[in-house]
Amino acid sequence: MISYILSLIIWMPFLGAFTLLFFNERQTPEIKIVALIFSLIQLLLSIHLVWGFDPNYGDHLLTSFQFVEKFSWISMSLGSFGSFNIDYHLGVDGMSLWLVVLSSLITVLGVLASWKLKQQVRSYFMLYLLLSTSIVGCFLALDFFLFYLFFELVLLPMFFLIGLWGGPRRSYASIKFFIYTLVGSLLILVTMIALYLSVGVLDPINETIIHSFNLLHMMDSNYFIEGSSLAKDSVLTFMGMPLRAVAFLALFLGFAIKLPIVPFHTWLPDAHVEAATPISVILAALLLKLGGYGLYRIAFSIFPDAAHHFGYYIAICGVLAVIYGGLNAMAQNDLKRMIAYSSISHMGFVLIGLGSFTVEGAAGGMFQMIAHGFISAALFLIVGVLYDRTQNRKIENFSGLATKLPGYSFVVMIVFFASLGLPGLAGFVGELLVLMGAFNVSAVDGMLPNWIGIVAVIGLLITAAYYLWTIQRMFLGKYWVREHSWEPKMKDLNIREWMIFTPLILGVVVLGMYPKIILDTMNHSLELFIAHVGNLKIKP
Amino acid sequence: MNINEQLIEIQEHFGVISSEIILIMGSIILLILGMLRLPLFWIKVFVAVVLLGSFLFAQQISGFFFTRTIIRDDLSYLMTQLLPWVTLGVLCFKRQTHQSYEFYFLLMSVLIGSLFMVGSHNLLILYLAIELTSYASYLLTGFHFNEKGSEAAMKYLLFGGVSSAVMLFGISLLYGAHDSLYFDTLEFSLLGATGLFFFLSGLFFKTSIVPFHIWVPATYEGAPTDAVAFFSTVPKIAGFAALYHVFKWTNGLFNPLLEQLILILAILTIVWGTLAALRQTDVKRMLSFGAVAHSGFILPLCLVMDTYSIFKYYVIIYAVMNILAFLFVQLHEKKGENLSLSDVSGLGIKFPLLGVISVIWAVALVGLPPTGGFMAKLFLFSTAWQHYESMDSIYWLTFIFVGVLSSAASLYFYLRVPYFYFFKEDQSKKIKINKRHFLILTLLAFTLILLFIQPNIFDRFAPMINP
Repeated sequence: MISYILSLIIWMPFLGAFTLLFFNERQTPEIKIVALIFSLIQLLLSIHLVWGFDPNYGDHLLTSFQFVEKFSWISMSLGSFGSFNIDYHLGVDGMSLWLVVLSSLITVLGVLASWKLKQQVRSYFMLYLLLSTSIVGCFLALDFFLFYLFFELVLLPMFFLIGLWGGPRRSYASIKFFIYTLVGSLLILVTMIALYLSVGVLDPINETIIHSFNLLHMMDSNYFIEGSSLAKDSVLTFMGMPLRAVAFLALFLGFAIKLPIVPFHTWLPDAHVEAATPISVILAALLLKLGGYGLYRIAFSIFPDAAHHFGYYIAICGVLAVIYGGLNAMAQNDLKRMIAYSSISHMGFVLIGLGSFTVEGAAGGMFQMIAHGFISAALFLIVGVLYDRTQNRKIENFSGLATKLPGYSFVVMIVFFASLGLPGLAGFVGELLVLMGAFNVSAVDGMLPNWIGIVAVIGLLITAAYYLWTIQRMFLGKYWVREHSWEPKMKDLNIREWMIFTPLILGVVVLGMYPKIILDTMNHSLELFIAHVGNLKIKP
Repeated sequence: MNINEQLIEIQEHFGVISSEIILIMGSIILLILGMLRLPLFWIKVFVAVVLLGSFLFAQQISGFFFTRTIIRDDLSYLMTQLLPWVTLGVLCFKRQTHQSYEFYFLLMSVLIGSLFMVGSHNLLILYLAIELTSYASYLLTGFHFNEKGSEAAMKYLLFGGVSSAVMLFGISLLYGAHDSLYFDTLEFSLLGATGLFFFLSGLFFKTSIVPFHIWVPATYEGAPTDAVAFFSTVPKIAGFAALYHVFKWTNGLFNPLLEQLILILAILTIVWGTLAALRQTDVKRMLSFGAVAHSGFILPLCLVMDTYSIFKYYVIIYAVMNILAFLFVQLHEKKGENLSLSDVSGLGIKFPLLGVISVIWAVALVGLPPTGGFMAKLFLFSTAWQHYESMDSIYWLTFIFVGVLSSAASLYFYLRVPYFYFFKEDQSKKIKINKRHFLILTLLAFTLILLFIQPNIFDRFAPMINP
């Protein structure tokens, strides 16, 4: 008996978007309620998914997927070129499970955060729900084509959501976001084609090779056709590098632009700052995770040998992001920009964790992604609260907010401390595990030198510095705001805002106090993942 | 075979070209109807009936006919199925003053020429077919009868004249080298290769391959938009189909050097078209450079023999995309003016559905999901990768990379129409689009998405007889 729960989770928001077609543009309350209902159903379904999830399922990465759905979607004969086969293939394992839960939770909170929206409400929520469908689709797809489809489908709604409901420089930011990520996904496209043509099974009936986009086949070296361009024994080179290494780099770059890594990060501050609050929340909490998840599920799992070869450089990329993002964050005087740069800094830890090739490192990277999902969502909502009241988010325009807005300041303290990695809150666990992984591997086989861990710790100090400095400037001292007209608007959090912040704060605290909930369900999958990517000899 | 037997053979073979004959008869009757001052609406209805007739009565057979000068195979059958529909799409454009029975007569002439272009197996027949499409096209270009239109027509005529002379010279060299004008008797020789190159330049001119594309922007800018939609699809697709035939049957002439040369031309075309399109503000000019870039994508598909189904898919998608885009442009035109980007600014707030349609065609032309444009690019790059894999040829790899990068760059200019539509704030503008045109736009946009979800839907439409 096949369970259709994954399809339901993916298509529930799409159904919501479709339902909105029957509403009138002026029925704003009804539209918002419909969007909320459908995203809540999605959230309930994904919680139900956690319930039915068996954390110790399968004994190999390729067999560890649960709730699998597989149907043939496109099967097209192209003459002597062979036939083109695309499956609708979904499945979930410990790595994707929590990302799905995170996305559905953030989707609900995003709907709540957009409650006050007034213009073009129907189009906004339709695009928003489509975005949600494509993000969850990415996390659950096990067919490369399907994954790529969802990955690309994220771009269009996001482009319009930034460009139509954003801040003053929104059109520039949206185009920049679109072109940067499109370049990345086109690199992924070329690699996908090459992989498709390299992977296949022999059809026993008429002795032809059936290619497939099946990610599980691509992860398994047995399915590679002998002599094809990306097979293990391939002799093809590109600019003197083996083709497998080039393909890995293309995938890595494609996903790393989304993550982002440092030379390709400039779309992120622009997009995050110009987007409206709920959209920045989605961008930071979910879109960056697509990059990270892509690295785990696709780049590393398909090319473990090449990943191993480049592990050191990947970790260096991570350290660079940690330090550079942190220093940039410190230099900002716009609160939202600072938080955007802090995202770059935190995502650097994911790369260090991956580069370490240890269970601790990989678990840390994964945990960091989920924790960052909660924390960054809360951070952008914090900026949103201030911006809603004053239309301003310059750090220097506020001082001593703690006395006037105690509830708000309480939330800010918890989230800021979680973000800077205070033990007991969510941000700490992921960073600790990553650093353990980095030091561990430097002690065991010397893949990563010690200094990577040490420099990453310095990155933590920088993070602490800019958050504490911001707290000191904005929340401590004597109450003062730049414009007199802001005074009457400076009210503490209302019930709707508490409704949004409470689950996030709870999440941050629970994840920090009792990370076992997530780590236990993830651990088995991550061990299989490391067993799959780790036990390979380094290519000379 | 003596003259008598040849005449009998020709007589017997008339049924083979039934769709062309229907078109020829139809266009002659069209002239008479026009002289009787039939209203334009009925003229259009008549043309539509003739086009549907030629579609329905197309013969699906394969072989050589008319003393081996006419060839029938999958490809020519596909064209007799596809091109009348494309012309029918052009017929659905908004009513404008230049439209008259002469206009539609010339459209039919180009269509007839295009069908013969695909069906010819003889250099001279091919030349005559190309000339037929060219002369009618020169006239169509000037149908605005203003200064810009005349300039465009003149430019087109001059470039076209030169290229046809060069082509004829190439044919004479080929004839001198081989003593024959049939495709399949040509073999490789230095003289023949030179001749082939000159001869190909004529076809490259029709299909707007760099450096034979100079006429494209000026012509597209000056010609009526429905004529432009027609030029960018029917004669161009036919030109590519003719190239496909030439490469298929002149196998003896085939040489790795030729393949490299053509790939280089394709790469140049993509780069040039994309870069030039980036700076345009006139939407038609922008689409014209975009169409040049697309020529670069289709060209390698003519080169390789095992890609018939991909070629087929690509040209169908290309036709749908282009007709949709140009119909969209034409519906937004004001009287006697070309559409510039600022003309559509801010319309998206009042007409969101039109905005969605503009997103669909823009995204399809870039080659992004969920449109058929993506599948076409995916198939194209897949076959290119396969050739790279089997030959380890750096040219194919470069083609893939250039193609991918130019897709990213083309996002910038194709997306400018939806961008101006939605992102620029200007509440003053109004457009009127009647329900019928809106329905056609929606249908075409829907087709593009349908071709993504089920790309094999047209397999029944033109099945293969001799794969």
